[in-house]
Amino acid sequence: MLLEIKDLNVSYKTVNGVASILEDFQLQMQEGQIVSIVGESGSGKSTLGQAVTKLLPMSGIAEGQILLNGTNIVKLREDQMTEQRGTEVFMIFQNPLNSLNPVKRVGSQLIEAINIRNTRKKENLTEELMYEEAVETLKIMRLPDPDEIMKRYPHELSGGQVQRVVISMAIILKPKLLIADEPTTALDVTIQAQVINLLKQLNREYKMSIIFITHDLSLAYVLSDRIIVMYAGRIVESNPSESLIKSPLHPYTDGLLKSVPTDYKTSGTLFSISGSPPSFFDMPVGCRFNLRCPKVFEKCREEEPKLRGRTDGSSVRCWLYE
Amino acid sequence: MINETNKIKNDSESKLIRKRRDRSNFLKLMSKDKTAIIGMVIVVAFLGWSAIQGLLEYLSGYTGYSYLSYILLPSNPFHTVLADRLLAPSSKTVWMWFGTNFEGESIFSRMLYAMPRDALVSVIVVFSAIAIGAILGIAAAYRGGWLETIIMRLTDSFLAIPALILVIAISIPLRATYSGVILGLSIVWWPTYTRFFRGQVLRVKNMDYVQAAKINNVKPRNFFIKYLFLNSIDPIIAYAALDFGNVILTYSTLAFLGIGLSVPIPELGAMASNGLQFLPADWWYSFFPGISILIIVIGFVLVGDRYQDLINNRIDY
Amino acid sequence: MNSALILYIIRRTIYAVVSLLFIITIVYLLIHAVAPSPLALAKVYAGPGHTSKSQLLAIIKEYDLNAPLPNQVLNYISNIFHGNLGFDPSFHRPEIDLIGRYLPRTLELVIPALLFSMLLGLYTGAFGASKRRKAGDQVVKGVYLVTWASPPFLVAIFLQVFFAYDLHLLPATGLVNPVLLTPKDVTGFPLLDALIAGDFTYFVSLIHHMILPVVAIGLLSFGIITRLTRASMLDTMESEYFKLGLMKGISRKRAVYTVALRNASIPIVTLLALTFGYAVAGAVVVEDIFSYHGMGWFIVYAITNLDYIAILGTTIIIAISIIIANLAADILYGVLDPRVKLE
Repeated sequence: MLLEIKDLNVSYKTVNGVASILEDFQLQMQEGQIVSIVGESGSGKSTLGQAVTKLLPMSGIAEGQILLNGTNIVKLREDQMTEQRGTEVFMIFQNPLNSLNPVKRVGSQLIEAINIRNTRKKENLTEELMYEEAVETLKIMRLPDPDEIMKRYPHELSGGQVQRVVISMAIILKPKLLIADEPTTALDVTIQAQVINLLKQLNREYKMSIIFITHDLSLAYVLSDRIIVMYAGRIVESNPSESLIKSPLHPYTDGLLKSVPTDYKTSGTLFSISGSPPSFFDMPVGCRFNLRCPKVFEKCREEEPKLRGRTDGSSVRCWLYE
Repeated sequence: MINETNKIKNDSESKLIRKRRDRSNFLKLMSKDKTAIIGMVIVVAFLGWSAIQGLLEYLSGYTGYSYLSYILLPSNPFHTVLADRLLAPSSKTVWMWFGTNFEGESIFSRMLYAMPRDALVSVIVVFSAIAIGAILGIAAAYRGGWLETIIMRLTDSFLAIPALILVIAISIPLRATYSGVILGLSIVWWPTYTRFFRGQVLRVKNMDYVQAAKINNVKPRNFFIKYLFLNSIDPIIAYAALDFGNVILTYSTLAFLGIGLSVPIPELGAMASNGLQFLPADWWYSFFPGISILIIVIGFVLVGDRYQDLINNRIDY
Repeated sequence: MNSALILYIIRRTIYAVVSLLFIITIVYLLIHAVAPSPLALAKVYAGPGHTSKSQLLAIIKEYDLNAPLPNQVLNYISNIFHGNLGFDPSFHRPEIDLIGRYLPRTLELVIPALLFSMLLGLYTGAFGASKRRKAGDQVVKGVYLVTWASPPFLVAIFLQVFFAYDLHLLPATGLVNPVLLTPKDVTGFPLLDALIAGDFTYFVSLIHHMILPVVAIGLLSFGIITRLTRASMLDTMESEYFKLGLMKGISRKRAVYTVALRNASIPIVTLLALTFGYAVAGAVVVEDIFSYHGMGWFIVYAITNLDYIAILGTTIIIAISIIIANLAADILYGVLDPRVKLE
C-alpha cells in the first residue's frame, strides 16, 4: 500500500468560527495507480492535496491518518516532512505562470531539484552531469531548444512550457506519489491534452502513482483508474473510472455526468444541476446534497448517510443504497 | 447569455451585501484583537478629551472667563510658582504627577491643556488631504490622458520631499504661526491620498461587479457612490486612521523645532524641546510630553493596523 | 546587461531630471504664493530685523524679482544649475559653500543609518513573517510600532540619556572631540579627510560621535521597512513558487530566507528613496539634539534665525539628493527583477 488515508478531517479557524473543509476522508492507493478527485470549487478537493503534502495554510488543522509508505504525515514535524517532499511526494500546482521562482533562471531551478535528489540518494553527481541531466529531461518533455530554455527566466516561457518544466522536475525527483492539482485548468485545450499525455507517460515509465485533482470529469476518466467524487467536503462516491461513467451511483455524480457536453449539435440545452453548493458555515441538515438532489426523500433531510463500501469495490454515500 | 449576466449581477449583489455585512461587523471584528481594543481606548480617550477641553478653551476665550479653560485640569497650567520650579514627579497630588517645569507650572496640566490643538491639527489636515486627494485621484483615474499625467507628476514631485522639510519651507514665510502650520501641513499632505484614490479607482473600475453594474445601467450617482466610492474607500480609511498619528508626529516635531505656537501656550513637542536643556537631571520635563505623543500615536497606529489586516484578510484570529 | 535594462536606466534618468525641474518650480511657486509681491518676497529673502527700502530694492534687483514669473522660474533653475543658491544673510557667505560644508556630514550619518535600517527592517520583517502569529512575530511588531510611533526627539533623547549620560559609553553631543585638530579639508567628508590625512585618533573620535545619531535615525526609519517586508514575505510565502520550492524538498528555513526574502525584497527597494527621505527628516531633529553640526543642525539654525535663503537652499539640495536616491533605487530594481521591461 503506497498511500492510505483514514478518517481525515481538515478544518480552518476563521472569524466566523471553525469551518470543516474536509470530513471523514478515506483513500487507499496502490503503487502505480492513478486516482482522480473530482468536485466543484469549494468541495475540499484542493485541501486534500495540501493535507497530503503538509502545505495547509497556517489556520488549517488536519486530524486523522495519512500513511505514506507507512509514515503518518499528519504527525510529522516540518523538518521531517522536508525529507518526504520531493523524492517521496511531489505536487504540481494549478497556475503555471506563478509556479516557478520569478527571479531565478529555469536551469538553476531544475539543477536545484537534481541536487536535492543527488544529496539524498548520495549519487555524487558533478555539476556538468547535473546540467546534462536537466537538458535531457527537458528533451523528454519535448521542449524546443532546451539549452536556450535553461537560460531563460520563467516569465519568458509560456504557461504550457512552465507546466512542462514543472513536470520535468517530477521526472528528476522521481517521487513515489505525484499530486497534480488542476494542472491543466489554466492552459489552452491543445496544451491540456499534451500535459495529460505527459502525466500518463510518467505513470507508465516511472511507475509513479498520481492523484489527479480536477473539476473536469472527462479528463479524470481519460487519465485515471479510479474516480472519487467530492461534494461539500465529503466523498459522495468512489468507483473505478469505467463503472463510474457507465453506471454512476450517486445522484450528484449522475448530474455531473449529464452536464458534460457530449453532443452539442443534437440536444439544444445543456443540463446543469440546479442551485449552488452550500456554505461551510451553513450546512443543510441531513445529506449535504439534499437541497439540489432530484431523488431526495424524507430521510435525506433528517440524517446524513454514511460512506458505504459495496461488493464491487465501489463506495457511495446515499440513502438510495442503504 | 442572459443567464451569464444574471449570474454576474447576482455575484455583484452578493459581494456588495457581504461588504455591507462586513462593515456592520466592524466593531465586533476589531474587538477580537486585544491590541486593537487598547488602540481604540486610547483614540477615543484622546479625541473625547480634546473635544471637551477644546470646547472649554474656546468658550473661555469667547466669554473671557479664563478659569473655564482649566476647570477640568488638576491645576492652572499658567500658574507660575517659582518656589515649585523643577519639582520631580510625585504621586501626592494630581498636578504633581509628572513634575513641574522651570516656571513651576504643572507639566500634567499643561499636557492636558495642549492636547486639543494636536487633535485639531490632525483632523483638519487628514480630512483636507482626503478631500483634495479624492478629487485629484478620482479625476486622474477617470479622465486619464494629459490630466492624469499632470496630476500624477505633481503628486510624485511633492512626494519626493519629506513632508517635514517641505512644511518648514512653506511655513517659515507664513511666519510660523499655528494656522500657518496647519496650512503648510495641508498643502503637503494630500499626495499620498491622490495616489491611493487613483490606484483604488483604477482597480475597482475593472472589477466584474462594477462592470456588471455598468451593463445593468445603474444610475450614475448610485454607480459612483455605491460601486466606486464605497468599494475603494476601505483601505483609505485604514490608512487615514494611521495618518492621524503621522500628522501629530510631524506637528509635534515642528513644534519641537520651534515652528507653530507662540511661547506661553503649551504644546507637547515644544515642552519636550524646552526640557532638553535640563537633561539628564530633570528628565521628566522632556520625558512625559514625549511619551504622551508616543501613546497617542500608537493608539492610532494600532487601530489603523488592525483595520488594514481586516481588509487584507490577514487577520490573526 | 541587456539592452532593455540600459534603455530602462536611460528612461529613469530622464524621468529623474524632469521631476527635479518640476520640484524646483513647485518650491519656487509656493514661495510666490506665500509672498505675492516683489517687495514681500524681498523681505522674506532679507530675513528678520529691519531692512531699509533701498536694501530691499537691491535684493529685488539682485534676484531679478520684478521679471515675469516664468522668467524668474527659468532664472532660478539656471542659477541652481550654476551652483548659485543665493547669499546667506546671517553667515555672510554664499549658500552653496555652507551646504557644501554641512551636507557631507549629514550624508555620513544618513547613509550608514539607511543601511542599518534596511538590514534591520529586512531581517525583522522576514523573521516576523516566518514566525507569524507566534511570540517572535509579536515582539517584532511591538518594537517597530513603538519606534515608528515615537516622536523622533524621544528616541534620540532616550539614546542620549541612557547611553551617554547614564552609562557614559559614548559622547552625548558634538561632531568630534573639540580638542583634536581638524585634518586638511580635501573631500568635505570628515571621515574621508581623516583617513587621507592618516589621522586615526580623529577618525575614531568621529565614529564615536556618529554611533548614537546613526542608531537614532536608523531606529526612526526601519519600522516601515519591517512592515512592508513582513507583508511582502507573507504574499510570497503564499505563492505557488514558494510552495513548489518546499515541494522540491528545500527546508522551510532555506525557502524563507532565499526564495521568499529574495522575491520580497524587490518591492522593498522602491522604499529606499522614501526611507532616505525619512532619514533626512529624522536627521534634522537628531542633529539638533546631539548638537551634530550637519545639514539638520543648519536647518534648525536657519529656522531660529528666520534665514529663508538657507531654508530654500537646503530644501532644494535635499530634493536633489532624494531624487538621486530614487534613481539609484530604480536602477537597483531593474537589476534585481528580471521581469523589468519597457512599459
